[in-house]
Amino acid sequence: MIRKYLSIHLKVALEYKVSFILTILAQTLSMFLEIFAVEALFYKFSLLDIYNINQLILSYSVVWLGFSLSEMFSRGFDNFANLIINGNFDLLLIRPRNIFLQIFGSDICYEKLGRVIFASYLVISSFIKVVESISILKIILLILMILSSFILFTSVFILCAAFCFKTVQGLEVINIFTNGTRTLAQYPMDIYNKVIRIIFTIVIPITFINYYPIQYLNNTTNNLLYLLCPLAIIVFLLISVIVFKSGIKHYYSTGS
Amino acid sequence: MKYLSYLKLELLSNLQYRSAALAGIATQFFWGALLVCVYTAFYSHTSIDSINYDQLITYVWLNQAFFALIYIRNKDKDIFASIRTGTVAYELCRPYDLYIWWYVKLLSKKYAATLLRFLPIIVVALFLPKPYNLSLPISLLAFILFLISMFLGSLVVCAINLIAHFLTFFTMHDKGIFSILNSIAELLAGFDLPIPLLPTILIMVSEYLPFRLIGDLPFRIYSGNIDTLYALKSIGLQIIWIIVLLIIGHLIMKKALKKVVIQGG
Repeated sequence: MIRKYLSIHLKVALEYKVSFILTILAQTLSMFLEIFAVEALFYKFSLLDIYNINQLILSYSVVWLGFSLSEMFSRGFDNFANLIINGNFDLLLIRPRNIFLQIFGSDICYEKLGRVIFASYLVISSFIKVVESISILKIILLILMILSSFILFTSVFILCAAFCFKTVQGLEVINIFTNGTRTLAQYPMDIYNKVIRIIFTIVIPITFINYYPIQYLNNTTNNLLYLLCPLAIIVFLLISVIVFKSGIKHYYSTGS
Repeated sequence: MKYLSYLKLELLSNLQYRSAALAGIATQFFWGALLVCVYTAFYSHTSIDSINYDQLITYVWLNQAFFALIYIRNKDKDIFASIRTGTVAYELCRPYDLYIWWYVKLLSKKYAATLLRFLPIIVVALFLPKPYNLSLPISLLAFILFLISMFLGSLVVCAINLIAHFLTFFTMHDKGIFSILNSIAELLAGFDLPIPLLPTILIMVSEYLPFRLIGDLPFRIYSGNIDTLYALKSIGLQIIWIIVLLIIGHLIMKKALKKVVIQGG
Protein backbone atom coordinates (compact mmCIF):
# COMPACT_ATOMS: atom_id res chain seq x y z
CA MET A 1 0.00 0.00 0.00
CA ILE A 2 2.88 2.35 0.81
CA ARG A 3 4.44 1.58 -2.56
CA LYS A 4 1.14 2.36 -4.27
CA TYR A 5 0.95 5.76 -2.55
CA LEU A 6 4.53 6.52 -3.61
CA SER A 7 4.02 5.65 -7.25
CA ILE A 8 0.70 7.45 -7.62
CA HIS A 9 2.09 10.72 -6.29
CA LEU A 10 5.17 10.39 -8.47
CA LYS A 11 2.96 10.01 -11.53
CA VAL A 12 1.04 13.13 -10.59
CA ALA A 13 4.26 15.09 -10.17
CA LEU A 14 5.68 13.97 -13.51
CA GLU A 15 2.54 15.01 -15.36
CA TYR A 16 4.00 18.53 -15.71
CA LYS A 17 7.69 17.86 -16.22
CA VAL A 18 9.16 21.30 -16.84
CA SER A 19 7.16 22.84 -14.04
CA PHE A 20 8.20 20.01 -11.74
CA ILE A 21 11.90 20.46 -12.47
CA LEU A 22 11.73 24.23 -12.12
CA THR A 23 10.00 23.91 -8.79
CA ILE A 24 12.68 21.49 -7.58
CA LEU A 25 15.32 23.99 -8.63
CA ALA A 26 13.54 26.87 -6.92
CA GLN A 27 13.13 24.90 -3.68
CA THR A 28 16.77 23.86 -3.66
CA LEU A 29 17.89 27.42 -4.34
CA SER A 30 15.90 28.82 -1.44
CA MET A 31 17.42 26.22 0.88
CA PHE A 32 20.88 26.97 -0.46
CA LEU A 33 20.41 30.69 0.23
CA GLU A 34 19.35 30.04 3.81
CA ILE A 35 22.42 27.90 4.41
CA PHE A 36 24.49 30.55 2.70
CA ALA A 37 23.16 33.13 5.15
CA VAL A 38 24.27 30.99 8.08
CA GLU A 39 27.77 30.59 6.67
CA ALA A 40 27.97 34.29 5.81
CA LEU A 41 27.15 35.22 9.40
CA PHE A 42 29.89 32.99 10.75
CA TYR A 43 32.29 34.38 8.22
CA LYS A 44 31.33 38.02 8.91
CA PHE A 45 31.72 37.63 12.67
CA SER A 46 34.96 35.69 12.12
CA LEU A 47 33.71 32.86 14.29
CA LEU A 48 35.07 30.19 12.00
CA ASP A 49 38.25 30.01 14.07
CA ILE A 50 36.19 29.04 17.09
CA TYR A 51 33.72 26.81 15.34
CA ASN A 52 34.89 23.96 13.20
CA ILE A 53 33.34 24.55 9.78
CA ASN A 54 32.68 20.87 9.11
CA GLN A 55 30.89 20.43 12.39
CA LEU A 56 28.84 23.47 11.59
CA ILE A 57 27.88 22.04 8.19
CA LEU A 58 27.08 18.64 9.67
CA SER A 59 24.91 20.14 12.36
CA TYR A 60 22.72 22.23 10.04
CA SER A 61 22.61 19.74 7.20
CA VAL A 62 21.25 17.05 9.52
CA VAL A 63 18.51 19.51 10.45
CA TRP A 64 17.81 20.32 6.80
CA LEU A 65 17.81 16.68 5.70
CA GLY A 66 15.34 15.73 8.40
CA PHE A 67 13.22 18.77 7.62
CA SER A 68 13.12 18.14 3.86
CA LEU A 69 12.32 14.46 4.37
CA SER A 70 9.44 15.49 6.62
CA GLU A 71 8.25 18.03 4.08
CA MET A 72 8.33 15.34 1.42
CA PHE A 73 6.72 12.43 3.24
CA SER A 74 4.72 14.13 5.99
CA ARG A 75 3.10 16.63 3.68
CA GLY A 76 -0.31 15.31 4.69
CA PHE A 77 0.22 16.65 8.21
CA ASP A 78 1.84 19.83 6.99
CA ASN A 79 -1.27 20.63 4.93
CA PHE A 80 -3.65 19.01 7.35
CA ALA A 81 -5.99 22.01 7.42
CA ASN A 82 -6.91 21.32 3.80
CA LEU A 83 -7.91 17.76 4.61
CA ILE A 84 -10.26 19.03 7.29
CA ILE A 85 -11.65 21.99 5.36
CA ASN A 86 -12.66 20.06 2.28
CA GLY A 87 -14.00 17.20 4.37
CA ASN A 88 -11.62 14.57 3.04
CA PHE A 89 -10.57 13.73 6.56
CA ASP A 90 -14.01 12.18 7.17
CA LEU A 91 -13.36 9.96 4.19
CA LEU A 92 -10.10 8.74 5.70
CA LEU A 93 -11.75 8.06 9.05
CA ILE A 94 -14.30 5.63 7.64
CA ARG A 95 -11.70 3.54 5.84
CA PRO A 96 -10.53 0.44 7.73
CA ARG A 97 -6.86 1.38 7.64
CA ASN A 98 -4.48 3.10 10.02
CA ILE A 99 -5.31 6.80 10.07
CA PHE A 100 -1.68 7.94 10.29
CA LEU A 101 -0.67 5.84 7.30
CA GLN A 102 -3.52 7.34 5.31
CA ILE A 103 -2.59 10.90 6.17
CA PHE A 104 1.00 10.19 5.20
CA GLY A 105 -0.28 8.78 1.93
CA SER A 106 -2.64 11.66 1.20
CA ASP A 107 0.19 13.69 -0.27
CA ILE A 108 3.85 13.09 -1.04
CA CYS A 109 5.73 16.14 -2.18
CA TYR A 110 8.39 15.08 -4.66
CA GLU A 111 9.27 18.73 -5.26
CA LYS A 112 11.46 18.51 -2.16
CA LEU A 113 13.68 15.89 -3.81
CA GLY A 114 16.34 18.45 -4.71
CA ARG A 115 16.60 19.58 -1.11
CA VAL A 116 16.89 16.00 0.11
CA ILE A 117 19.67 15.19 -2.34
CA PHE A 118 21.61 18.37 -1.63
CA ALA A 119 21.28 17.98 2.14
CA SER A 120 22.33 14.32 1.91
CA TYR A 121 25.42 15.32 0.02
CA LEU A 122 26.31 17.89 2.70
CA VAL A 123 25.68 15.42 5.50
CA ILE A 124 27.88 12.72 4.02
CA SER A 125 30.74 14.95 2.93
CA SER A 126 30.93 16.79 6.26
CA PHE A 127 30.51 13.55 8.21
CA ILE A 128 33.62 12.13 6.57
CA LYS A 129 35.60 15.21 7.55
CA VAL A 130 34.32 15.40 11.12
CA VAL A 131 35.09 11.81 12.07
CA GLU A 132 38.76 11.11 11.68
CA SER A 133 38.28 7.38 11.62
CA ILE A 134 35.04 5.86 10.44
CA SER A 135 33.65 3.12 12.61
CA ILE A 136 30.44 1.13 12.38
CA LEU A 137 29.18 2.76 15.56
CA LYS A 138 29.64 6.21 14.09
CA ILE A 139 27.80 5.29 10.90
CA ILE A 140 24.95 3.88 12.95
CA LEU A 141 24.90 7.09 14.97
CA LEU A 142 24.73 9.18 11.79
CA ILE A 143 21.79 7.15 10.52
CA LEU A 144 20.12 7.55 13.90
CA MET A 145 20.70 11.30 13.75
CA ILE A 146 19.07 11.60 10.34
CA LEU A 147 16.17 9.39 11.36
CA SER A 148 15.59 11.30 14.56
CA SER A 149 15.76 14.63 12.75
CA PHE A 150 13.08 13.32 10.37
CA ILE A 151 10.97 12.06 13.26
CA LEU A 152 11.38 15.32 15.15
CA PHE A 153 10.09 17.52 12.34
CA THR A 154 7.31 15.07 11.52
CA SER A 155 6.30 15.22 15.18
CA VAL A 156 6.20 19.01 15.00
CA PHE A 157 4.01 18.73 11.89
CA ILE A 158 1.72 16.29 13.72
CA LEU A 159 1.45 18.64 16.71
CA CYS A 160 0.61 21.54 14.42
CA ALA A 161 -1.94 19.39 12.60
CA ALA A 162 -3.58 18.62 15.95
CA PHE A 163 -4.16 22.37 16.35
CA CYS A 164 -6.31 22.29 13.23
CA PHE A 165 -8.93 20.23 15.05
CA LYS A 166 -9.51 23.29 17.20
CA THR A 167 -9.10 26.05 14.65
CA VAL A 168 -10.43 24.26 11.54
CA GLN A 169 -8.60 26.73 9.34
CA GLY A 170 -4.90 26.54 8.74
CA LEU A 171 -3.12 29.24 10.66
CA GLU A 172 -0.15 31.06 9.23
CA VAL A 173 1.13 31.45 12.78
CA ILE A 174 1.74 27.73 13.06
CA ASN A 175 4.41 27.96 10.39
CA ILE A 176 6.55 29.73 12.95
CA PHE A 177 6.73 26.51 14.89
CA THR A 178 8.12 24.49 12.01
CA ASN A 179 10.17 27.11 10.20
CA GLY A 180 11.26 28.75 13.42
CA THR A 181 12.51 25.47 14.86
CA ARG A 182 14.43 24.84 11.67
CA THR A 183 15.95 28.32 11.56
CA LEU A 184 17.10 28.30 15.17
CA ALA A 185 18.36 24.73 14.93
CA GLN A 186 20.62 25.63 12.02
CA TYR A 187 23.05 27.33 14.38
CA PRO A 188 25.23 25.32 16.76
CA MET A 189 23.54 25.26 20.14
CA ASP A 190 26.47 26.68 22.08
CA ILE A 191 26.15 30.13 20.52
CA TYR A 192 22.85 30.64 22.33
CA ASN A 193 22.34 31.62 25.94
CA LYS A 194 21.15 29.16 28.56
CA VAL A 195 17.42 29.82 28.24
CA ILE A 196 17.24 28.95 24.56
CA ARG A 197 19.50 25.97 25.06
CA ILE A 198 17.21 24.60 27.75
CA ILE A 199 14.15 25.11 25.53
CA PHE A 200 15.88 23.17 22.79
CA THR A 201 16.73 20.32 25.10
CA ILE A 202 13.50 19.92 27.02
CA VAL A 203 10.63 21.43 25.04
CA ILE A 204 11.72 20.70 21.48
CA PRO A 205 14.59 18.22 21.79
CA ILE A 206 16.73 19.60 18.99
CA THR A 207 20.04 19.23 20.82
CA PHE A 208 19.63 15.47 20.78
CA ILE A 209 19.68 15.23 17.00
CA ASN A 210 22.88 17.16 16.31
CA TYR A 211 24.62 18.87 19.21
CA TYR A 212 25.20 15.91 21.54
CA PRO A 213 25.76 13.22 18.88
CA ILE A 214 28.40 15.36 17.18
CA GLN A 215 30.34 15.42 20.46
CA TYR A 216 30.69 11.67 20.05
CA LEU A 217 31.49 11.82 16.35
CA ASN A 218 34.40 14.22 16.78
CA ASN A 219 35.85 12.16 19.67
CA THR A 220 35.18 14.84 22.30
CA THR A 221 33.63 12.10 24.36
CA ASN A 222 33.69 8.32 24.34
CA ASN A 223 30.66 7.90 26.53
CA LEU A 224 28.40 5.39 24.79
CA LEU A 225 25.38 7.10 26.34
CA TYR A 226 25.69 9.77 23.64
CA LEU A 227 24.84 7.09 21.10
CA LEU A 228 21.38 6.81 22.59
CA CYS A 229 20.64 10.54 22.36
CA PRO A 230 18.66 10.45 19.13
CA LEU A 231 16.32 7.94 20.71
CA ALA A 232 15.05 10.68 23.04
CA ILE A 233 13.08 11.92 20.05
CA ILE A 234 10.80 8.89 20.33
CA VAL A 235 9.34 10.41 23.49
CA PHE A 236 8.54 13.59 21.59
CA LEU A 237 6.90 11.57 18.82
CA LEU A 238 4.78 9.65 21.33
CA ILE A 239 3.56 12.88 22.92
CA SER A 240 2.58 14.39 19.59
CA VAL A 241 0.79 11.20 18.53
CA ILE A 242 -1.17 11.16 21.80
CA VAL A 243 -2.14 14.81 21.33
CA PHE A 244 -3.25 14.11 17.78
CA LYS A 245 -5.29 11.05 18.83
CA SER A 246 -7.09 13.01 21.49
CA GLY A 247 -7.76 15.61 18.82
CA ILE A 248 -9.48 12.99 16.67
CA LYS A 249 -11.67 11.99 19.61
CA HIS A 250 -13.03 15.50 19.91
CA TYR A 251 -13.32 15.99 16.19
CA TYR A 252 -16.59 17.15 14.71
CA SER A 253 -16.76 17.13 10.98
CA THR A 254 -16.99 20.45 9.17
CA GLY A 255 -20.00 18.84 7.51
CA SER A 256 -21.43 19.91 4.21
CA MET B 1 -7.92 61.36 -11.20
CA LYS B 2 -9.35 57.97 -12.09
CA TYR B 3 -6.22 56.10 -10.92
CA LEU B 4 -6.36 57.77 -7.52
CA SER B 5 -9.99 56.88 -7.01
CA TYR B 6 -9.21 53.31 -8.05
CA LEU B 7 -6.42 53.32 -5.46
CA LYS B 8 -8.87 54.47 -2.80
CA LEU B 9 -11.45 51.88 -3.82
CA GLU B 10 -9.00 48.98 -3.76
CA LEU B 11 -7.52 50.22 -0.50
CA LEU B 12 -10.92 50.21 1.18
CA SER B 13 -11.80 46.74 -0.03
CA ASN B 14 -8.42 45.34 1.00
CA LEU B 15 -8.76 46.82 4.47
CA GLN B 16 -11.47 44.20 5.09
CA TYR B 17 -8.98 41.38 5.62
CA ARG B 18 -8.48 41.97 9.32
CA SER B 19 -8.18 38.43 10.65
CA ALA B 20 -5.48 37.68 8.10
CA ALA B 21 -3.66 40.74 9.39
CA LEU B 22 -3.85 39.49 12.96
CA ALA B 23 -2.16 36.24 11.95
CA GLY B 24 0.40 38.27 10.03
CA ILE B 25 1.20 40.41 13.05
CA ALA B 26 1.74 37.37 15.26
CA THR B 27 3.96 35.72 12.66
CA GLN B 28 6.03 38.84 12.12
CA PHE B 29 6.41 39.44 15.81
CA PHE B 30 7.60 35.92 16.61
CA TRP B 31 9.90 35.94 13.65
CA GLY B 32 11.43 39.20 14.81
CA ALA B 33 11.97 37.78 18.30
CA LEU B 34 13.64 34.75 16.77
CA LEU B 35 16.03 36.86 14.70
CA VAL B 36 16.84 38.99 17.74
CA CYS B 37 17.83 35.76 19.54
CA VAL B 38 20.14 34.72 16.72
CA TYR B 39 21.81 38.10 16.29
CA THR B 40 22.18 38.60 20.04
CA ALA B 41 24.01 35.29 20.13
CA PHE B 42 26.41 36.44 17.42
CA TYR B 43 27.05 39.86 18.93
CA SER B 44 27.80 38.29 22.32
CA HIS B 45 30.94 36.82 20.75
CA THR B 46 32.26 39.70 18.68
CA SER B 47 31.00 42.87 17.06
CA ILE B 48 31.57 44.13 13.53
CA ASP B 49 32.12 47.61 12.12
CA SER B 50 29.58 47.66 9.26
CA ILE B 51 26.58 47.75 11.61
CA ASN B 52 26.32 47.82 15.40
CA TYR B 53 24.02 45.81 17.62
CA ASP B 54 21.38 48.49 18.30
CA GLN B 55 21.18 49.43 14.62
CA LEU B 56 20.75 45.79 13.65
CA ILE B 57 17.99 45.12 16.20
CA THR B 58 16.20 48.25 15.01
CA TYR B 59 16.63 46.99 11.45
CA VAL B 60 15.04 43.65 12.40
CA TRP B 61 11.95 45.24 13.98
CA LEU B 62 11.42 47.72 11.15
CA ASN B 63 11.82 44.87 8.70
CA GLN B 64 9.09 42.90 10.50
CA ALA B 65 6.78 45.90 10.90
CA PHE B 66 6.94 46.87 7.23
CA PHE B 67 7.20 43.33 5.92
CA ALA B 68 3.97 43.58 3.95
CA LEU B 69 5.22 46.75 2.26
CA ILE B 70 8.60 45.42 1.12
CA TYR B 71 7.51 41.86 0.35
CA ILE B 72 8.74 40.99 -3.16
CA ARG B 73 7.14 37.58 -3.54
CA ASN B 74 3.63 39.03 -3.76
CA LYS B 75 1.59 37.19 -6.36
CA ASP B 76 -1.58 38.76 -7.68
CA LYS B 77 -4.10 36.09 -8.60
CA ASP B 78 -6.30 38.47 -10.57
CA ILE B 79 -3.52 39.53 -12.93
CA PHE B 80 -2.51 35.93 -13.58
CA ALA B 81 -6.12 34.88 -14.02
CA SER B 82 -6.99 37.70 -16.41
CA ILE B 83 -4.21 36.53 -18.71
CA ARG B 84 -5.05 32.86 -18.47
CA THR B 85 -8.79 33.16 -18.86
CA GLY B 86 -8.66 35.93 -21.45
CA THR B 87 -10.57 38.59 -19.52
CA VAL B 88 -7.58 40.80 -20.29
CA ALA B 89 -9.38 41.43 -23.58
CA TYR B 90 -12.03 43.45 -21.75
CA GLU B 91 -9.40 45.27 -19.73
CA LEU B 92 -7.69 46.31 -22.96
CA CYS B 93 -10.91 47.84 -24.26
CA ARG B 94 -11.29 50.13 -21.28
CA PRO B 95 -10.16 53.72 -21.46
CA TYR B 96 -7.18 53.52 -19.18
CA ASP B 97 -3.54 52.49 -19.26
CA LEU B 98 -3.51 48.85 -18.20
CA TYR B 99 0.01 49.11 -16.85
CA ILE B 100 -0.81 51.91 -14.44
CA TRP B 101 -4.05 50.17 -13.55
CA TRP B 102 -2.27 46.99 -12.44
CA TYR B 103 0.47 48.98 -10.78
CA VAL B 104 -2.07 50.85 -8.66
CA LYS B 105 -3.75 47.56 -7.85
CA LEU B 106 -0.52 46.08 -6.45
CA LEU B 107 0.26 49.28 -4.62
CA SER B 108 -3.11 49.54 -2.90
CA LYS B 109 -2.96 45.94 -1.78
CA LYS B 110 0.42 46.62 -0.21
CA TYR B 111 -0.68 49.80 1.53
CA ALA B 112 -3.78 48.16 2.96
CA ALA B 113 -1.82 45.18 4.26
CA THR B 114 0.80 47.46 5.79
CA LEU B 115 -1.70 49.82 7.41
CA LEU B 116 -3.32 46.87 9.15
CA ARG B 117 -0.06 45.42 10.41
CA PHE B 118 2.71 47.87 11.15
CA LEU B 119 1.45 49.81 14.17
CA PRO B 120 1.08 46.98 16.74
CA ILE B 121 4.52 45.61 15.90
CA ILE B 122 6.15 49.04 16.16
CA VAL B 123 4.48 49.81 19.49
CA VAL B 124 5.35 46.47 21.09
CA ALA B 125 8.91 46.57 19.74
CA LEU B 126 9.42 50.10 21.12
CA PHE B 127 8.52 49.00 24.63
CA LEU B 128 10.53 45.80 24.77
CA PRO B 129 13.26 45.62 27.46
CA LYS B 130 16.32 47.65 26.72
CA PRO B 131 18.81 45.98 24.39
CA TYR B 132 16.15 44.02 22.47
CA ASN B 133 13.93 46.96 21.56
CA LEU B 134 13.31 49.14 18.54
CA SER B 135 15.24 52.39 19.05
CA LEU B 136 13.83 55.79 18.20
CA PRO B 137 15.08 57.35 14.95
CA ILE B 138 18.55 58.85 15.24
CA SER B 139 17.31 62.37 14.41
CA LEU B 140 14.25 64.16 13.10
CA LEU B 141 15.94 64.59 9.72
CA ALA B 142 16.72 60.87 9.57
CA PHE B 143 13.09 60.13 10.36
CA ILE B 144 11.83 62.37 7.55
CA LEU B 145 14.29 60.85 5.10
CA PHE B 146 13.21 57.41 6.31
CA LEU B 147 9.57 58.18 5.50
CA ILE B 148 10.44 59.51 2.05
CA SER B 149 12.66 56.57 1.13
CA MET B 150 10.15 54.07 2.56
CA PHE B 151 7.47 55.54 0.28
CA LEU B 152 9.81 55.48 -2.73
CA GLY B 153 10.82 51.94 -1.76
CA SER B 154 7.20 50.84 -2.05
CA LEU B 155 7.11 52.29 -5.58
CA VAL B 156 10.30 50.37 -6.44
CA VAL B 157 9.03 47.04 -5.13
CA CYS B 158 5.73 47.29 -7.01
CA ALA B 159 7.53 48.06 -10.27
CA ILE B 160 9.79 45.03 -9.76
CA ASN B 161 6.86 42.89 -8.72
CA LEU B 162 4.91 43.79 -11.86
CA ILE B 163 7.90 42.95 -14.08
CA ALA B 164 8.15 39.56 -12.37
CA HIS B 165 4.47 38.99 -13.16
CA PHE B 166 5.02 39.80 -16.85
CA LEU B 167 8.09 37.59 -17.13
CA THR B 168 6.04 34.62 -16.09
CA PHE B 169 3.62 35.19 -18.96
CA PHE B 170 6.37 34.20 -21.36
CA THR B 171 7.10 30.95 -19.59
CA MET B 172 3.66 29.88 -18.41
CA HIS B 173 5.33 27.70 -15.72
CA ASP B 174 4.93 30.53 -13.31
CA LYS B 175 5.69 28.79 -10.01
CA GLY B 176 9.31 27.86 -10.61
CA ILE B 177 10.62 30.91 -12.49
CA PHE B 178 8.78 33.36 -10.28
CA SER B 179 10.26 31.79 -7.19
CA ILE B 180 13.83 31.57 -8.53
CA LEU B 181 13.83 35.23 -9.60
CA ASN B 182 12.42 36.30 -6.28
CA SER B 183 14.90 34.27 -4.25
CA ILE B 184 17.79 36.06 -5.90
CA ALA B 185 16.10 39.43 -5.56
CA GLU B 186 15.46 38.78 -1.87
CA LEU B 187 19.08 37.95 -1.22
CA LEU B 188 20.21 41.22 -2.82
CA ALA B 189 17.44 43.15 -1.06
CA GLY B 190 18.72 42.12 2.35
CA PHE B 191 15.83 39.79 3.24
CA ASP B 192 17.97 36.79 4.11
CA LEU B 193 20.56 38.89 5.89
CA PRO B 194 20.72 42.68 6.26
CA ILE B 195 23.02 43.97 3.51
CA PRO B 196 25.83 45.04 5.89
CA LEU B 197 26.11 41.42 7.01
CA LEU B 198 26.52 40.00 3.51
CA PRO B 199 29.97 39.10 2.12
CA THR B 200 31.76 42.08 0.57
CA ILE B 201 31.32 40.93 -3.03
CA LEU B 202 27.56 40.69 -2.64
CA ILE B 203 27.42 44.12 -1.03
CA MET B 204 29.14 45.49 -4.13
CA VAL B 205 26.76 43.66 -6.47
CA SER B 206 23.76 44.93 -4.53
CA GLU B 207 24.95 48.54 -4.95
CA TYR B 208 24.34 48.28 -8.70
CA LEU B 209 20.86 46.81 -8.42
CA PRO B 210 17.56 48.30 -7.26
CA PHE B 211 16.66 45.62 -4.71
CA ARG B 212 18.44 47.14 -1.73
CA LEU B 213 16.46 50.37 -2.29
CA ILE B 214 13.24 48.64 -1.21
CA GLY B 215 13.70 48.13 2.52
CA ASP B 216 17.37 48.03 3.35
CA LEU B 217 17.94 51.71 2.56
CA PRO B 218 15.11 53.21 4.66
CA PHE B 219 15.83 50.97 7.65
CA ARG B 220 19.47 51.95 7.68
CA ILE B 221 18.64 55.65 7.31
CA TYR B 222 16.34 55.37 10.33
CA SER B 223 18.98 53.86 12.59
CA GLY B 224 21.77 56.16 11.43
CA ASN B 225 23.76 53.38 9.80
CA ILE B 226 23.80 55.56 6.65
CA ASP B 227 24.78 59.22 6.94
CA THR B 228 22.64 62.08 5.59
CA LEU B 229 24.65 62.78 2.45
CA TYR B 230 24.65 59.14 1.34
CA ALA B 231 20.97 58.92 2.21
CA LEU B 232 20.14 61.89 -0.03
CA LYS B 233 22.15 60.40 -2.88
CA SER B 234 20.39 57.06 -2.48
CA ILE B 235 16.98 58.71 -2.52
CA GLY B 236 17.93 60.27 -5.84
CA LEU B 237 18.93 56.84 -7.03
CA GLN B 238 15.55 55.50 -5.96
CA ILE B 239 13.77 58.04 -8.16
CA ILE B 240 15.95 57.18 -11.16
CA TRP B 241 15.38 53.45 -10.65
CA ILE B 242 11.61 53.92 -10.37
CA ILE B 243 11.55 55.67 -13.75
CA VAL B 244 13.80 53.03 -15.34
CA LEU B 245 11.79 50.14 -13.92
CA LEU B 246 8.50 51.66 -14.99
CA ILE B 247 9.77 52.05 -18.57
CA ILE B 248 11.15 48.49 -18.66
CA GLY B 249 7.90 47.15 -17.23
CA HIS B 250 5.86 49.03 -19.79
CA LEU B 251 7.95 47.65 -22.67
CA ILE B 252 7.77 44.08 -21.38
CA MET B 253 4.03 44.34 -20.95
CA LYS B 254 3.59 45.51 -24.53
CA LYS B 255 5.62 42.55 -25.72
CA ALA B 256 3.78 40.12 -23.47
CA LEU B 257 0.39 41.35 -24.62
CA LYS B 258 1.36 41.01 -28.26
CA LYS B 259 1.78 37.32 -27.59
CA VAL B 260 -1.62 37.02 -26.03
CA VAL B 261 -4.06 35.45 -28.40
CA ILE B 262 -7.57 36.17 -27.33
CA GLN B 263 -9.60 33.09 -27.97
CA GLY B 264 -13.06 33.75 -29.40
CA GLY B 265 -16.17 33.46 -27.28
